[in-house]
Amino acid sequence: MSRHRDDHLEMCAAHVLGVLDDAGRAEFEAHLAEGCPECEAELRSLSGGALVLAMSAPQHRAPAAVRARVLAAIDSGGASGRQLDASVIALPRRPWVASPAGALLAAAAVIAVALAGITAWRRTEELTRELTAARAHTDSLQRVLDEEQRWASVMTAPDSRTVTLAPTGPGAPALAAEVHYDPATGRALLFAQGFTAPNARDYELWAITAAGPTSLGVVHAGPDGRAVVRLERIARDGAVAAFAVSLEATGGSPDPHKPSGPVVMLGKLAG
Amino acid sequence: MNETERDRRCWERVAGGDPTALAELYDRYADLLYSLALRIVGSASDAEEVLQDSWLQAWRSARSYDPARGAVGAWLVTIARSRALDRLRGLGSRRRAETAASVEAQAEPPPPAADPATGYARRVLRNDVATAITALAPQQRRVVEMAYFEGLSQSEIATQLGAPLGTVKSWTRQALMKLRERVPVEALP
Repeated sequence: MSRHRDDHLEMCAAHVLGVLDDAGRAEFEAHLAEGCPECEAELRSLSGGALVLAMSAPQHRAPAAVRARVLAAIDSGGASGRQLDASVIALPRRPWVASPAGALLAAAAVIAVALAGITAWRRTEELTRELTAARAHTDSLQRVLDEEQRWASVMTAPDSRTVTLAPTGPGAPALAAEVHYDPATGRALLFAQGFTAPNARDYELWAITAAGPTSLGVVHAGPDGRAVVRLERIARDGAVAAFAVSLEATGGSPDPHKPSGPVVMLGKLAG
Repeated sequence: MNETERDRRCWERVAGGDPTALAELYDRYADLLYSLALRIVGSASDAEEVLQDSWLQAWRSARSYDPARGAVGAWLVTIARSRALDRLRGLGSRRRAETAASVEAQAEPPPPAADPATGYARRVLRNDVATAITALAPQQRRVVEMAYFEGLSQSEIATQLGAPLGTVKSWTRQALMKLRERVPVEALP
């Protein structure tokens, strides 16, 4: 601890009035920083004298406009942020970045704005990605919907035909099938029930035109024997006269234009 | 609860961001701060700006106030004086001379002061302050007023008064001690 000297008491007085020169202030503050009960007591006592000086100034009422301006500036700056609205304070001011503390605040403000900008940019990128994904999903759903509508139109088209296939013999009484056929587009829908084929066998669907039968493929039913089959580009060889189902060896008839097994269902188009 | 404690609690609300608390303190201290600023800068328009800047500075730095280092009122006075002296220095030496002259001319400044202290205790305090100031020896009063209201260093005061620096230092301390002794500390802001 630097030793207390009597002239420190005089420095206390100058310090209370804020009139120590730079060298004196540095020395005195260093002395205080090391702890000096005498000087601390002296400062407490003399600071009261400085307040008496302040109160000795002739008294005036503060202009009412200042109160309004101060409170407006505070309100506009927000209670917590303590950022004061410069537009409210329409008085000439020194740049507040002129002090090191001001520069630090300014730097902090710049960083805060930059961080806010980065956060906002990242959020924008994130939202853009989400929007792109959502649009892709919507496009996908739209394609599915278009496809469903396209197939639904097979049944609702003006020239659409409905053919109910009937079992051709007593050996397949559980079979039921119906074909919706749109000649304009060459598309057809098969709705089948009871198409659970015996072991090592497959049911095969045929379109029969004037040129003869053409395989439309093996019907793969689910475990419940039901199947819905979409058929395209059928009957390129001419108008379909009938649809038929044959019971084939696994994989279907080796000849796409001739059933190798028995025909178990048949449905003729009217007219 | 005395005024010091009341101010301290009010300031805790200010530090917490409560503008109504600042308004309360403003109503209590604005006249004192404005009068001090006017005494230092000498013109109403400058004093008005000092007053505004002081309250905004107080609001911005509310959390830096340390109750252990003095009462809220004393802290506000320190801010206002500091801002006023900054402004005075910014005005330049020519204006400073005019300011000093104009202050001297303001023996009874119109409009009449509306005393911020309306209660009996404050009127007593005002009387105590006036008595304490007039009781100072002329040199003692001069040196502390030059230091406090004009921001002059003790060397500058010594030069202006043509007195030894050591003597100025001595007068300064004696003056502050007398002022402090004649006014009860509990009555001060």
